[in-house]
Amino acid sequence: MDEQRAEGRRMRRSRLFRLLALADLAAGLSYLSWRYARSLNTDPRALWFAILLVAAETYAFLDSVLFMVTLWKPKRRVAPEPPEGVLVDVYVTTYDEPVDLLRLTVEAAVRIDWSPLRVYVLDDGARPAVRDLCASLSCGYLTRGEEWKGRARHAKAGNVNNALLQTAGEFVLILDADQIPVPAILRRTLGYFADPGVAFVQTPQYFYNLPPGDPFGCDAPLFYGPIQQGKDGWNAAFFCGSNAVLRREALMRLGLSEYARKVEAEVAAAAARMSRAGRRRGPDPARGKAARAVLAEAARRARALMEAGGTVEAAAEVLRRGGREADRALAAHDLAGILRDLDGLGRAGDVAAASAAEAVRAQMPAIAAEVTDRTAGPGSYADGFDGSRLMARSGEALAVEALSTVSVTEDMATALKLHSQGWKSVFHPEILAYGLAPEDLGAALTQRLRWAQGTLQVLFREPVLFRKGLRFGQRLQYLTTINSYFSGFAQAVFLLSPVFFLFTGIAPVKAWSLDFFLRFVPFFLLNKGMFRFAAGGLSTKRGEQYSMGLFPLWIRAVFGALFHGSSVFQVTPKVRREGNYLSRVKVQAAFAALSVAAAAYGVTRVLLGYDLDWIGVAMNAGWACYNTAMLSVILRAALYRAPAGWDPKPPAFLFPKDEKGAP
Amino acid sequence: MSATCTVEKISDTAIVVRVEGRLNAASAVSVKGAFKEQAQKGARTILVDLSGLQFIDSSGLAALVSGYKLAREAGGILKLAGLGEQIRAVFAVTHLDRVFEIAPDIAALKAQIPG
Repeated sequence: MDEQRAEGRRMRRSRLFRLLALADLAAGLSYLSWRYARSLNTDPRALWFAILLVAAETYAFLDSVLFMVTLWKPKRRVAPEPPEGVLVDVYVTTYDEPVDLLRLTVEAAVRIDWSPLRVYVLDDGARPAVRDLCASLSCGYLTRGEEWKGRARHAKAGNVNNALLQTAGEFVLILDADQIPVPAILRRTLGYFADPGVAFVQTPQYFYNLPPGDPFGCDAPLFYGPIQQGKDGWNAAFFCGSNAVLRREALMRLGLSEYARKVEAEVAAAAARMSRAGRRRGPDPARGKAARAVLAEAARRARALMEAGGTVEAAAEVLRRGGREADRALAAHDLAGILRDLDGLGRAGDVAAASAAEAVRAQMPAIAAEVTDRTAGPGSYADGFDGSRLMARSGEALAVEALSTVSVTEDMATALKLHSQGWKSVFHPEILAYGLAPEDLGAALTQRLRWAQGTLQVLFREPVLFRKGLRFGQRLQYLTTINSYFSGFAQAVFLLSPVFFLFTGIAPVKAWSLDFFLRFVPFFLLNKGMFRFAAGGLSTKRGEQYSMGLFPLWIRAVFGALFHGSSVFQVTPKVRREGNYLSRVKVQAAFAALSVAAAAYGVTRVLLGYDLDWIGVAMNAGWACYNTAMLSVILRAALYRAPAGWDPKPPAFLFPKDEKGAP
Repeated sequence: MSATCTVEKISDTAIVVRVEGRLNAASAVSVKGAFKEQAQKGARTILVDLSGLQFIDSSGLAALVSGYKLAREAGGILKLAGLGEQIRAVFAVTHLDRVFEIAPDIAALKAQIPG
């Protein structure tokens, strides 16, 4: 009965949200069309400014439309009954987190209510103290083996991939070093896998160490609630790297098809390289002529073979042979030159030279082959097109890499690939693990930058709009994520707009008229109302403040993702470092100071009678003050000190009293 | 039930590995270990006979690919033969049938080995 009533309430809420969203959409369209058609200040001095502002407003509108789409049909899940007896692995990933912190997680992992269960600590730091901890709790301890020496380690993704090839669980629960699970975590999530198409179940990240008021804006109840539920409705729930259960078969299958794809791409690239080598005339064109013909022909044959459905292995073999034959052609050319010299000497009466020439000529191909083999090595064609090396992906430690290694946000890239292979995902909204948020602004900023830059990297590299296998709704969800990270540019425009007007008197609109207010105010209020309603009582204030406050970081992430191939994975510090982080928010401080100065300047001019457009000045001064207030949050966070004696502990219920080792 | 590996030496550097039973996540680790051991012992041509294999999953397939990588890196080769219907299907799903040369049976592979 209660369940029914709750369902009824949810239905009504959902309908009300759609109504609000449609009203907001209508108000937004009406406002923006008026802005474009009637309001732009076309004065040549002002036009660029007018266009910049209206473009930023259009972006913000698009962003909120995408938000509405995300929340249009949220999925509300009820955990199905779990199956019995399936083997589950728990991976606790760690690099350099304090052992005492790790102990809390591992102890809780061992207590997870499931059988058969195997807990492994994946220690990328290979620390003896962690190995001892595992021995004392009788859980598995995994580190990287010989095969990783001198090769790219791929951070956490490499750590997990390494473990996947050494353990056997049908499902894998991944936990970051600080994420303490509740015993029921598997009982509440494994039931979803009764659907054989489900690849992963993500649960929320919850932080037990948030200082009062969440000064760094780390809490993400909106994301790990309505937003993920919305994404789930489009079968596009995000995998967030921790607190998620994954189906091994889905991961391995992904790893295998990625291996197939990468090997194919590598061999195709080698064929292209060979084809180019076949066209390139070296310093001695006559010498390389025959070799070039051989290379061009082999490259053509390898490509034709792959196009005709031949295997990659066969094509790699064609390339390998082509390389060797090209080396032989070079050797034959050199030998021919030597023969000519010997013949010359012979004609001049050198009997030994004449007989040597005779001998060489009789066995020419065999000698050319032998010379080639004896001189093969770095720089030879055979070395450059070594089929074995291409097929072995010898630059990588593992052939099969289940978690994507293209980016520092391996989770997002993996989810994207699973979704495009047709796998389903689930977001289960119940909090089943308790972890740590960054405890200082520096760490929080580092984490945000890594997420933003990594996510953009993946999405720039993967053509999300055209990638095969994604459904329209999923495409839209990934697009929403990319789009949201461009907000920095729009925020910069919104911050500078009032400053520019107050100092120069150049307005982006023809007039701050009644018309403007009549269209803008309803849109603005509806938009805010829609967001508030969607949040359903969760506070969105911090989120908004940080969305604006972090604008330089978002901009940096976009440029970082565009111009640096890959960035270094930075482990988010789990230890508080008190201090002054003003140096990390200099840009925000400058913008806040500019806004205050501009407001003061504008108001003074009106008061002194220099400026008669008091409506425009009042509005823009108000806007500048609002901006300053928004920015002040991150400035205060830079100077934040936790209250004396602030020492957050994980919830006591995670540690039953009767067990030793409980804190 | 899991997989068993039997190794038959056909020359100094060539062996036939016959994998039987069910090659899944549980048996993949030991099969991978067997390939590693053979590569370390000097096997360069590894012919894998899968005709006695009843079932393979992605983890099992990953063990074969790991073995292939090991052999290739050592300058050798690993070849597969005798895939049943289920096994062929898993190869196709992951596109590995487009990557590897797969012989219909082990006799065909042995015939290619000189000596």
